[in-house]
Amino acid sequence: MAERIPREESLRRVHGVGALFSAAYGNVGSSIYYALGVTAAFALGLTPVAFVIAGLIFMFTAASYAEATVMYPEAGGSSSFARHAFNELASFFAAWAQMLNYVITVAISAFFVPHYLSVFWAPLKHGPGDVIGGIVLVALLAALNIKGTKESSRLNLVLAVGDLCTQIVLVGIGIALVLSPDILINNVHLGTAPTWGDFALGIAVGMIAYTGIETISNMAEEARDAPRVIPRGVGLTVLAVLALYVLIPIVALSAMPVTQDAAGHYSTVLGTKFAGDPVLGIVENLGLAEGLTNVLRIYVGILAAVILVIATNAGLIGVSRLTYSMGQHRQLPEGLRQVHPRFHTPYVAILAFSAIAALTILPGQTDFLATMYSFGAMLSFTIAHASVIRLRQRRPGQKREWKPPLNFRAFGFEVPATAVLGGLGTFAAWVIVISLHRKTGLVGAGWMLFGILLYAGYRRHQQLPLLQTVKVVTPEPLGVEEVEYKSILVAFENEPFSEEAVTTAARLAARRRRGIHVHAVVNVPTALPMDAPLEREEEEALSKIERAKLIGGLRVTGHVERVRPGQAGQAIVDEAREIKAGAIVVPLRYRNGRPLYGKTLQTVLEKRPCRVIVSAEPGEKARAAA
Amino acid sequence: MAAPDQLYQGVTRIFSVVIIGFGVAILVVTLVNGGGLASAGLWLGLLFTAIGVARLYIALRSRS
Repeated sequence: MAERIPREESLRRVHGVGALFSAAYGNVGSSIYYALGVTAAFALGLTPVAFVIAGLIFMFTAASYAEATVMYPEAGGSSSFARHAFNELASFFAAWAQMLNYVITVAISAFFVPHYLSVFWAPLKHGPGDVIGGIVLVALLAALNIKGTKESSRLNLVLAVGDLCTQIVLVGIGIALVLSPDILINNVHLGTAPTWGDFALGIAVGMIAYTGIETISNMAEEARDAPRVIPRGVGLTVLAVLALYVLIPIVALSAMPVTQDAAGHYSTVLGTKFAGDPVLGIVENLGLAEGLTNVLRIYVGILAAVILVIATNAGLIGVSRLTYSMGQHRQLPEGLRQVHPRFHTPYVAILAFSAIAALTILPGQTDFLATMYSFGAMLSFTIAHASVIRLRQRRPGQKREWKPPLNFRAFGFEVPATAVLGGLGTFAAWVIVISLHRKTGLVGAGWMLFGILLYAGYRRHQQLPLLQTVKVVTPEPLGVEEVEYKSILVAFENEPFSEEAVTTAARLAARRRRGIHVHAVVNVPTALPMDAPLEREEEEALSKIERAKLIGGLRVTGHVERVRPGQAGQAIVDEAREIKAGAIVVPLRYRNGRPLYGKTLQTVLEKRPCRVIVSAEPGEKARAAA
Repeated sequence: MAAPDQLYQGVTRIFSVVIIGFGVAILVVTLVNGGGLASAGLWLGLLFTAIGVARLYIALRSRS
């Protein structure tokens, strides 16, 4: 029966610096396993410089994220910042760019898993093995996410620490055995290898090595003491990532120098032979003994594959969370964010975006995936920087618990230099990507255009304004603050949908894991067979379930049951028993201004297996009387 | 001092020492290979050592 849960436990803020750092490093740290090779293919001997410049832009971006996340500790990252700074359309724009990031994260991480597993089976290193392997992995993880999966904080921590230690050890061995400043200088042929265009593209692509900082933003709602914990988590991630991401390319290019072939072309095996598994390339070229190299190859292969599988899964979880967040703000059509009746996951969105991820893997082009990733990430980061500047101008008096250093006064407000420099950097990187990689520019523009049309069409259809925030309404219910229940059954018979009843249930089931089950009863006249077509009644019943989902979110399930007239009360009682409901919420009906205690309600009250709450619609009586 | 603060300070100090270690290692490798004042390795090593020392100094100062 009912279990009393203290209200304070329903919104526990649990994450400290360690959890934020491990989650952020787990995400950012996984990027090096694919970013290094593709960056080296463009930037050649200037790869370390490209990583340094990209790292500086990352530092500024992290500062902007920290300031805005501390101000608004809620999930959504740049989409949330843009909502507060600009309007809902800008928020959607940022969210849709983030969605592209998640899709490409899924694709690129999954595509590189077979490359690292090729230490066991060589055909996985190249097409079609890597394409098939990547698509199979996406399909498996999509199925797992539809069934429902959770991120394990402990596993994230172990992997992040393992990843960090492995990278430190590899850099340490690399410095001791292969580091050669002379080789690094000889690798560079300014203007020729790389060309200035390729170097610029290398910086833009190098930025993907630093993506993942929004993870901290997404965990902000559950951060303990956000003003202290978030900047520290961000600071530690920046410190660890910057130091290692400068040294890893230095070691890699010392071990795999740039060479000129007979035709006069410059290349490094880091960007050719090892483009698909650059960290394995470092291991193989450290000059260690054969036995030790083989052991290290297998270890790095397994570690990288596990980290990339986790990154793929994190991308799919990101798709689910973002779909839910966009749904809450009425940015996506119901069809796309439909929740699975049994598993309570947004299965349509997971299937659709996983299919797009699989499609992008199909050509087997790493540079396309990398530049698409850069396209979405740079757009999202630029909006984050612009939002921080706009918030400084729009809400100068709002308390900011944390601000980055280097601020100056201009245009009548305090301008953050980090956001200006970061914004210029990320916007320049975005322009470079669309200018120098035409295919990416076209596909990316198509993605954004499709999103805006989808958003505008949906808002127009729903008669909602384009620029204003419209959130799913959850009005405060009356008189149910004292207790919370394990699971709640909301029963509807023929009465109209009652927002009050669902809101009451949502409040009762305040903890996330508690279910709300909507039981919509359709009366089948005795003159008709039970399976007679009753399309209008069925549609009305289904619509009540859908509207309840809009209010209660992922925790709401529901089903329609056909009964004979007079049997609805017993059906509701049976349903409550079957799902072991802690409470039944029944909307009160009125006739001629008076409450109607009909047969259904009488039966439910008489045979109740648990507490029954009769929910009265505010103003209903007055409206009915009128 | 609260446990999360100690954790943060501890991890920051470890990272600082690791960065100093990288810097010193680069310096040693450069000098062993005959690098002089003009060599890139020397300046890279000094840069990493300086960054590590600066971060360690800030971490230790905020503790006191």
